[in-house]
Amino acid sequence: MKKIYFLILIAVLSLSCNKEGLLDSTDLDELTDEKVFTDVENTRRALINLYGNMRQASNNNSGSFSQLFDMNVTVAMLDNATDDGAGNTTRNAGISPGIQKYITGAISGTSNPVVLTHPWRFFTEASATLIYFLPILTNAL
Amino acid sequence: MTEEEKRSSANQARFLRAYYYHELFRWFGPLVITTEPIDPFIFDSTKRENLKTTVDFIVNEFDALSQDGALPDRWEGSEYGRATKTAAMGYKARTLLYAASPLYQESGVTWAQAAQAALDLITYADSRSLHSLYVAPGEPNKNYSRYFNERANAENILVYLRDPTNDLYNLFPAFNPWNVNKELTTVPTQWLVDCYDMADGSEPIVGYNADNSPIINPASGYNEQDPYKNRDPRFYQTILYHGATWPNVNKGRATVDIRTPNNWGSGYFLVKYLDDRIDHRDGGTTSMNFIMMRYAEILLDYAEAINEAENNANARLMAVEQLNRIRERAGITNPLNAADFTQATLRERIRKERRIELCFEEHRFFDIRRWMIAKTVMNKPAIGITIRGGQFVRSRLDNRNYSDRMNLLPLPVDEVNNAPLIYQNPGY
Repeated sequence: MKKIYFLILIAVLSLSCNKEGLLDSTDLDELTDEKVFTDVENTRRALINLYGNMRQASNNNSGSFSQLFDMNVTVAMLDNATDDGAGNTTRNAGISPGIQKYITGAISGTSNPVVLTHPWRFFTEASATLIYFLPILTNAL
Repeated sequence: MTEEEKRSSANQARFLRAYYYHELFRWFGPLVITTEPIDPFIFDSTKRENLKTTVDFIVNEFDALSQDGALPDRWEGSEYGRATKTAAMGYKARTLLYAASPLYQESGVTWAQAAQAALDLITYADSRSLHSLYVAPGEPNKNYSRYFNERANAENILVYLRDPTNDLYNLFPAFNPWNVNKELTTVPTQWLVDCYDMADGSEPIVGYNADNSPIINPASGYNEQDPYKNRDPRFYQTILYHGATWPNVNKGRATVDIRTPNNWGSGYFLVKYLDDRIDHRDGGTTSMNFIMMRYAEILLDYAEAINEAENNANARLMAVEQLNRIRERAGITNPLNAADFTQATLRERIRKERRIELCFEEHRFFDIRRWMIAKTVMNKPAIGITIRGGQFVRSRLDNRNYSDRMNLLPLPVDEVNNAPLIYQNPGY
């Protein structure tokens, strides 16, 4: 937990800004209790950026068809790790190792079950970002 | 910013916090619950709660956000995609459905609670015409597939927005029988194909022998050597198979022929999500989003919960009504009859309907765990189809090994080691 919450501030402060619309994002570090609702655009974009963490993705705007984005180099859906689907065993590079873990039972506490951020860390950091952001919003009401 | 906008912003942030907890809950079970920033240097007292406290927190949060005035019914224009009241109601319903399921029984949540939450959403949405099953204008035979091609429609409850002109097909994990050496990393199995009923609603396969060969229902008309004839319309809108064609592949129509020397995977290809109006091999882009929650899921949530909550004819009538709404939208003309089911047989029918309707929407990964059937279904190898000597032959794709500990994922071991009150999930 120590590591997670220490990293949260980094995660919060590293959110970046680019385009218009609901896919926009912004820097949360620009927000303070005083300016959160006076700097409307920043608040709006900061909130929108938080929607981006609903799924793990390479970046908030592209999104992914796999909740965990990347089980190994290529995108593979969680359904591959069920009886509905299979990683392509005849694929040149072989079955995605990330999927293979779920299929063969090679899941352990010492290894990440996915290639990118461990889902515990990903969603914990996402929720903790809100824990940081929410009091700023509610205090300003 | 108006007071209403301020309140809405805060409530959207609160929704997202609850959503992240919901995700953590279904991956890991009991959670560390906090609404205040944690001092990163005080971790000895950081505690992982029990399942009941975890579920109560998440449900109470979504419940608060479901109250009138907390979140709007709709967002329009560029605001589309933000959290709504029905999204809060939907995630409350899904959380309760999971919590009532065998895997999470320690939560103390009942099936009746889960049923009521889903019914509350259905009633609210129906009374205000907020959500409905999507129907494709002028294309009734594509009601199901076209839903996944439309960026905004009334079936969506919550979507993950993507750019309006996104390059989905470069990221798409499943489809491309004409590009098999590249990104073909998600393929449907024969197990899923077997699940699709015949067009008249009869079941083609009613079980399996010890060697995994199918037990065919002769009354269904199913023929293992002509297996793709007269199936549930959703089959054709989800899976591409030997002999099937697809428009718009490099400016032309292409046919799948798994006899040709290629890497065909399971012999099946996922076409759910693909828009057949777009040539995805010729630089086509799409405006579609990823669906996080849709109205059909809530109907299935309700059907499952009410059937589990009450073992009587009226409950089965209400459950079957939801299934028939979904099946009728898909183009199945023979409705199910509630009187034909017991609670146990209807449970299997509901699970099958959920598997088909929501396939490759990342539900089954969690469903087989919460139902605690993963140990059974995931200890069988994946099966595909090949052609040998002119005959369709089922073929083994891999070997699988699943144990009950995998119903919940392990926490990172350093998290457990650093905080004494954060315990690991069993078996890790």
